[in-house]
Amino acid sequence: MRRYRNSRALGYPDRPVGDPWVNKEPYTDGAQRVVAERNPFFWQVDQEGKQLPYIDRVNFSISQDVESLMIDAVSGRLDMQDRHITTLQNKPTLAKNAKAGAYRLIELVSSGAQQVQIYLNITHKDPRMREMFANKEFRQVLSLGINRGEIIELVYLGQSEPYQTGPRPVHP
Amino acid sequence: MKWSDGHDLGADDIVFAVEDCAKNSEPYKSTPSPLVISNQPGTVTKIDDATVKFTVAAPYAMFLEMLATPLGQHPTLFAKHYCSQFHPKYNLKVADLVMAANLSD
Repeated sequence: MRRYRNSRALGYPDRPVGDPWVNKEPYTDGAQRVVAERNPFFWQVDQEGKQLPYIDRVNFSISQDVESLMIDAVSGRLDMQDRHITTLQNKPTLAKNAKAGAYRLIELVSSGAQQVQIYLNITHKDPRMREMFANKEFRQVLSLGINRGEIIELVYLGQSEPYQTGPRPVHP
Repeated sequence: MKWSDGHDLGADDIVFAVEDCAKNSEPYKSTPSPLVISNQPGTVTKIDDATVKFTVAAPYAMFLEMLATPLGQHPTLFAKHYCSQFHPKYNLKVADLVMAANLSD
């Protein structure tokens, strides 16, 4: 696998792809940015038959850490950003600077049904633990015993709601 | 269906990507797990330019779903017309390319 760890080996922008994006300027050592252009032959279309992706070219600047990415975000230097900075802890800062930075926040519906699930090891090595975890009533009691409201207040700053592991209402 | 450079994407590419690349222990330490069932890598053969046949060692109920996930990428990962120039089976002088690029392997 050595050759794939070699950053130069990743940098083959001529390699044809079937993906929506062609990596024109790869993420290699010393790169200042990463550039992707739309694959003009990409096979997927939208519901009206228009070829995807819509955007011709995307430039990603390379941030050294999340703090510098946050500075870029609040000063309005990014067109769009989701990863790394969209935490609840950052939300007040992002909201406060939206006007000055001339950007807006949009709410995304998470594709995950849940933030956290607890799965008990029902094949536990200790037969007594195994028997207890296999007991449905035990698991129901454990579920009832978890104070979801308190966790939501303390960890999710009140921005969540109690939910079981199951499909979201918007799922088809 | 075409690659991003306009070349046709067809059965030869799928066979190349699986048989010559994904199942090749030089670039891959082991065959990517989505292509392995019952500890044996599947086999892909060309029927015609637009049709391939996958053969696996045991029933693989989620095979089609697997192909539709990001980890199902391997059969369409390597365009034969381009990538075969770096493959010793198709280019006997691949060592010269390695040397010219100042790489170790």
